[in-house]
Amino acid sequence: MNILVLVKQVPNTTEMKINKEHGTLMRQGVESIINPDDLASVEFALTIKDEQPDTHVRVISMGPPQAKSMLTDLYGLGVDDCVLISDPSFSGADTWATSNTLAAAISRYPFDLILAGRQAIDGDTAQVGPQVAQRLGIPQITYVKQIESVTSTHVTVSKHYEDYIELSRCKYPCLLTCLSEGTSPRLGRIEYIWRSLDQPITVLSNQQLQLDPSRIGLKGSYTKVKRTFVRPIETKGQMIVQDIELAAKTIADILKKAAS
Amino acid sequence: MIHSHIHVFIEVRDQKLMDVSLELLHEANELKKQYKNKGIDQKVIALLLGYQIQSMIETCYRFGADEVIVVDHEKLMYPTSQHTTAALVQCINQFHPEVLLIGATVVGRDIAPRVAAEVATGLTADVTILEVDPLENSNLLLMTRPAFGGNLYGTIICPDTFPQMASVRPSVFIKKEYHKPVVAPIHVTVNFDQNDWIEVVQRYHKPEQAIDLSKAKIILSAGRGVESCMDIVLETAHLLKATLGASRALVDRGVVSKVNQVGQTGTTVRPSIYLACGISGALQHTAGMDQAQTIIAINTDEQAPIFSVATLGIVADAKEVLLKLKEYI
Ligand SMILES: Cc1cc2nc3c(=O)[nH]c(=O)nc-3n(C[C@H](O)[C@H](O)[C@H](O)COP(=O)(O)OP(=O)(O)OC[C@H]3O[C@@H](n4cnc5c(N)ncnc54)[C@H](O)[C@@H]3O)c2cc1C
Ligand SMILES: Nc1ncnc2c1ncn2[C@@H]1O[C@H](COP(=O)(O)O)[C@@H](O)[C@H]1O
Repeated sequence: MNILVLVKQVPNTTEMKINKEHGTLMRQGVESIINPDDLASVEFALTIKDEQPDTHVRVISMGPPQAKSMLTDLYGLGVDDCVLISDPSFSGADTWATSNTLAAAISRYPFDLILAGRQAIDGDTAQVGPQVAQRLGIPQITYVKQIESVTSTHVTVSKHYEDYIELSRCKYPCLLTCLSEGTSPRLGRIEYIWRSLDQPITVLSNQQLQLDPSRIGLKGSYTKVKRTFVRPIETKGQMIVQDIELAAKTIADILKKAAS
Repeated sequence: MIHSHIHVFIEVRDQKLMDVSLELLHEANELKKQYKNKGIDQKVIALLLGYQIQSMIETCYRFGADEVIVVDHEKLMYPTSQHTTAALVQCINQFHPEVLLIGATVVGRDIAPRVAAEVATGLTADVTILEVDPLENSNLLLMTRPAFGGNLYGTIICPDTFPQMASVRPSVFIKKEYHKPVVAPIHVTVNFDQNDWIEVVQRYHKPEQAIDLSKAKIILSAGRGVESCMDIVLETAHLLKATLGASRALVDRGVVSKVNQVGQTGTTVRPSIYLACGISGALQHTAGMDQAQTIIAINTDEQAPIFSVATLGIVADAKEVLLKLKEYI
């Protein structure tokens, strides 16, 4: 079976700090990581491969050339092939333009199952997975916490809603978006890591994909960023410093007032 | 093509209207006022999709709909990306909304991107602020959302295509009763694909869902700073009849269950009192609680960012404060 995994390299947003004076985001020194939900997708794919060794796992990522280092790391985990979609004309894309580009690249490869992350921690939109599925005209199941079983024709997964869990089955080809909560990613294996340095990464630019320039990148995006800003700091309320007695009494008063 | 009116997708689950849909009806009325100030008349239109939903039509008028469009079909008993998308796409093609708002629930975030791609328009995810552009020469919807884990906010516009679509985070807005006149709804018939893509084998409620943080009035929330005195935290929560909340740091460490997590990847809450103990106040946390009426924060570090959202800030050991508080209750 053929699995495609959509993977994005993102800045580690927990480490970002804000320059309060200038109201800007400080990105220098923040490491790039593989998006956590996408690492779960890779883990799901490799687990299927563990059980069914004739499975082929291909990773597809769209991003700047430095994303290659992430792809080399993924070879170290045991994926079979890595493709990087990279071209200055693809940059600045919103989710629709991203999905359009990803779908065009995906169409060049055979697939039964496509795995995406639920959401990327930089954009946080959770839109690219479903929009890729729509572009390809295939079903999607989002918020997948576990892949329960995989047969030659169907996949069965558990999908998590706010209040309930659904066990559902879908025929190939289909796309799943995966949550990182359900898995713990494996470590690289020494023989794979050793080999990874020689494994080629296919780079696709618009020379290969031949997409209409008005449907990619910033120009091809339906949404535009009007402005960005860091969160305004709210004014401070009353402060009590190291006076336990007063603190407890003030809290009790607030609670009493709320109760009455 | 003329695009007009503010449409709100009304999500029905287990024969109940989701709160976020009602919150959006109220917010749509706020937008309607802003359009009105610019001399533009918009209606708030509820898109009610489901099966055997006759009794819910009245609720839509009660919470602010001027008109209701109904798609009532067996295939919509549970919202799926396939059938709900088909129904919404048909409604869009038939009624040409200027704005379409969808609650950013698991269902909303499943279908909204698909719908947007299908009708070829832009979609802004997980919006927390909506506003009609105050500039005179623009009537665009300004959709503001957090990104980079809440470190940065972006205001997004969709200038050239319709509808302008947003998925909106639950519990950010409030719902309000309007009791608008009940008029006959418009029924829409959709030709659904007979082949279901997805077969649901089993559906069951999550066992832990006994607590519902989003509805709690008082939340006592614990962070890494009180990890070593959780017994006192739990005892105090019990005394105050408060629901237990937690930061992700505590959840990740397995001290508290995931259902208790407040924040961007947990639950968004707006209780009347939020008591944060030993929580630093990372933006991913405050994004889920800064709408609380009264925020009390206890932290040993006077520089902790949680104090910037606190109504009452206490710089002290949370354990000591909670022990003392017991004497006053
Ligand atoms: C994509 C993403 C999503 C996230 N989503 C969420 C989310 O939904 N919710 C969430 O909470 N976090 C979330 N986080 C994590 C968030 O960034 C923080 O790491 C987390 O909230 C920190 O938890 P904390 O405040 O308990 O721990 P810390 O940051 O370690 O803070 C502990 C605090 O306790 C104080 N303290 C220590 N001892 C005492 C004492 N005796 N008495 C009083 N105070 C004391 C310290 O001064 C410190 O301020 C997310 C992160 C990412 C990257
Ligand atoms: N540039 C990209 N390259 C490859 N996959 C992507 C890219 N952007 C998004 N994705 C996939 O879509 C998922 C959701 O991303 P987002 O919609 O940005 O939150 C991610 O977890 C990835 O699996």
